[in-house]
Amino acid sequence: MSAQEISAAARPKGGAGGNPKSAAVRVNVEQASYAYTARRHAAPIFTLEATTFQARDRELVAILGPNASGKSTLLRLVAGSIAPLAGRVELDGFETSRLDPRTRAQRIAMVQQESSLVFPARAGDYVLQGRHPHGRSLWFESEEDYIIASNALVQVGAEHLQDRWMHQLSGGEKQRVVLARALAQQPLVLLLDEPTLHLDIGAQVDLMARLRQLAEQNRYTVIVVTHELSLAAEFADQIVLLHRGKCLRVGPPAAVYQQELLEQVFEAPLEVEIGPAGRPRVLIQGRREEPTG
Amino acid sequence: MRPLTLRRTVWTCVFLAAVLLGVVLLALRLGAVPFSLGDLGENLWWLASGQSERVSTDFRLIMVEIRLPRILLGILVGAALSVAGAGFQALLRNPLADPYVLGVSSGAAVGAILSMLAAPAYPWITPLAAFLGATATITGVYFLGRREGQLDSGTLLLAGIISASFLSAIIIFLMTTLASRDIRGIAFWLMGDLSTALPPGLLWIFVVFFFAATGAIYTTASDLNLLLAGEREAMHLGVDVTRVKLVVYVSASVLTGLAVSVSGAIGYVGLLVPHVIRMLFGSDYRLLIPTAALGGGIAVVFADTLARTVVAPTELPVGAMTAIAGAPVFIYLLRRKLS
Amino acid sequence: MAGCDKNGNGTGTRRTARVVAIALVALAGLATALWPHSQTRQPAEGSAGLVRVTDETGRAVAVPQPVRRIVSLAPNLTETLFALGLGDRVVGVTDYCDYPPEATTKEHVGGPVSPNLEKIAALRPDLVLATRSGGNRLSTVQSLETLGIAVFATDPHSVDEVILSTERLGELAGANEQGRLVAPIGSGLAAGLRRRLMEVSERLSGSELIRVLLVVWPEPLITVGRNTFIADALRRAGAENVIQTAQDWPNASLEEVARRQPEYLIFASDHSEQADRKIAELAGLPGWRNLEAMRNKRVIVLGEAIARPAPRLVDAIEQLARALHPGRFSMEVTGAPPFALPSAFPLPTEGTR
Repeated sequence: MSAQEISAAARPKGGAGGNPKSAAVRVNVEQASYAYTARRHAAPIFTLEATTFQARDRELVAILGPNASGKSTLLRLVAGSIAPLAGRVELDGFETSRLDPRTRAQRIAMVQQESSLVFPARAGDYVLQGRHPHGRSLWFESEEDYIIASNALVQVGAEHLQDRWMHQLSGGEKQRVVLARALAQQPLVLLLDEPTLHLDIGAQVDLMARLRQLAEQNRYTVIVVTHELSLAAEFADQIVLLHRGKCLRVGPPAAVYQQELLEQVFEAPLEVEIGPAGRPRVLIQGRREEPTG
Repeated sequence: MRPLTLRRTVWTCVFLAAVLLGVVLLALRLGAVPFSLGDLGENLWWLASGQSERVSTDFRLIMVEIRLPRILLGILVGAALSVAGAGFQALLRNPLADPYVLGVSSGAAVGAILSMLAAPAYPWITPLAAFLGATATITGVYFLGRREGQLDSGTLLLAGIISASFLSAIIIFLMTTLASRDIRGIAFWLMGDLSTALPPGLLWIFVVFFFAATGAIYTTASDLNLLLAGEREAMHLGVDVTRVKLVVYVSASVLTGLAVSVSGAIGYVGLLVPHVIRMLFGSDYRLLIPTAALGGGIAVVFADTLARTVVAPTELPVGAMTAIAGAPVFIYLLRRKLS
Repeated sequence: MAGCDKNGNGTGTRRTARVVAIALVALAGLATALWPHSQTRQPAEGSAGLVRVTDETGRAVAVPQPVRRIVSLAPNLTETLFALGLGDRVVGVTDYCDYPPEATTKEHVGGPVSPNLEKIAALRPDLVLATRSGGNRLSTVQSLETLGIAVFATDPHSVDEVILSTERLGELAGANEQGRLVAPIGSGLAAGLRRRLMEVSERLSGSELIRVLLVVWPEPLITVGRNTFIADALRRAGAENVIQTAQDWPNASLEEVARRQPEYLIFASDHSEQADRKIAELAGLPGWRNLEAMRNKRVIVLGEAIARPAPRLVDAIEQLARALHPGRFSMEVTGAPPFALPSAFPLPTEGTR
């Protein structure tokens, strides 16, 4: 199989092209809410209030907000690892939390702050683990699995890291390998929880650009949790703005990035201007001049 | 990246089985009463081809009734401890875990000591009592080690360590007050000792339980690979973490209980054999479990042969031998890891 | 996406359950098939048949007659066998069997705690002797039983029982080819021992028991409990251990001993020089210094025979009795005492009793 044919095989089936905005809704979050309690029947420590948004294929959605605003909770609801107390979270019409874990893993891939490895592993083997949801237990990987895993590494630009040990990789390299593992799952939805946390600006931009490209190329739905205002503005199609467990606004960046709103949510002096491509840019304001008179 | 295929797994196991066979032949040859290879070959052939009348009574008594069962027991105990060690290292996400860290061996020891005090009439009562002690400990630690309904590595480790300490204190109490007469015997048992001839029925029961428990762990082998890369990640890759942890916990504990019930607490095997195998063949549990089992068999039979012959006719407890050899190996592994 | 197939986890759990179920069925099958085979073998009959006895730990033993080859797993048993005149039937002894000297020339089978089963089996004994008080393990006895070798275990708790054991062993192992006792081996020896004991008790009649401490091990301090044959031996010699507990080898605290102030300290050692050095060392240590017996040098070193349930125990009893109650034992008309006096420490003079 040639490289192009392999790439085509890796892409989810379906027609090519078409206006992403008119494509069918893939992820539907409808009035979903959740609450954490220390013990059962105790008062909730934290509540995520009813939130609604929808994501389509080839779309990159950013869940934006300061720390402790409920972003990770919302992501876990989408991932199906927790069930909403009220409302619905659906993937192609099926409740994500009701799916069994294996089926879920075949469709949703999650990229989180990874735990440390107990025993050393090579990057190639690590990425190969992404094929697990598609195999049976007591199974050894097939030729096809190896090809898909290699391809995933190519897609993130890390094919040269295949034989390197995970603990010897830099932060950016490791992030790419972790992403490759998620791609090897051949999911429909890609979820990332603060993927840019420990990366320098170059790696951050590289990652977001790659996510954007993958969403387009492989027809993924990408949902990223972040508090990086500029990155979200530049790369996301849709923003879900959270503040202290409340969803304040949902919409394209231009609609959500209003100065007063952002200043209130992030509690910082900010300024919003519209860039040449029509995407908003956020600037840190210096000391505000006192109004005269 | 060398792929792990069924073929590579099988061939590695065949290779280790050959090494095991070599060690077994060596063990059969050596002992307080040595046999030459020629004698050995001849007599084994006669036994195998149905001409058992030609086999001398000496050979039959020593080889068939004493040495061979002891070697078989050594293989089983070594295999059980190594698989259990590998399992616990994955379950507790800790390379320093060994089969005894959760207190199973201390529980078995309490059972064994109590039965020795009662001076049982039948030889199988002590292993049975030890296994009951082990089972009670497994259940107790399970309930202590849960958090929010499922086994949590950190809580489990703490629960196990505390149980082990508590049970060890009970053992010391029993040894000094009640059992002071049989104290040397108990101390020997605690060190790990293969010299007790097991009734053949018990040996078969061990074999069956061994394969059942090892089989159960093997069904979770690829899940364990994922679990070791992170529990949350494993869950998002479709692993039923709760079920896998339970299966590994019960199976590894049963294997430990079996081994300790028949031979006392032989140390270092469950800790080191998995590490050595990992160094040689990699960390993939689909390969690690069968190879660790074979490696454990090799290690224990080898150590036991040394224990039987080094100061013959006096016998050292095999646990002493594994400790003497185990400590330097451990230091070597540690240094390799740090460099 | 087609429907949600719930096959992933279910299969995994079912597979595990299937594996375990098959294993358990196999287990049940094997167990029922093999159960009758797990009996222990009976020893082979000797030319004069088998005699069935119960040993001193309550086990039923079938001993082939006559007994031509004996393996002893404890020093006291070896001694007893030689005292009974059965030394030429002994084919295996432990590394610690040092008395009589001929015993050391026999084949060694290892230590009492962990003797080598192969070696014992290779010697093809008709009878193996073990003892509960000598460190032999029940599992060793049971292993030998499984191999079809007769094992007789002794477990004496008093001096009388020691003599009884001696008699019994003589009966069990002393038969000739026709199955008859060659001479009243055991009973002759036993009668002699009993006579000597009676003489000692006659001489001691009316005197009070002297309070002593028998030191089995000095650091930590270990002494003997009241149910041991050693405590009984002390009583026969006109002494009583100040520590009386039900445990056989209790750890005693020096303070407790100091509170009770025994009149004599007794050590058991065959190496008198070493013992003297050790005692001199202890005399300087706190705790030991507080014992009047130590300060006044009222220390007696007996041979290890006091701690071995064998005929020499009576020798030790006589020795101790003379040392503690010298007034009761006048010197024999022929002059020298018929035994060695304890070394180094002066005896109390007459008139202090």
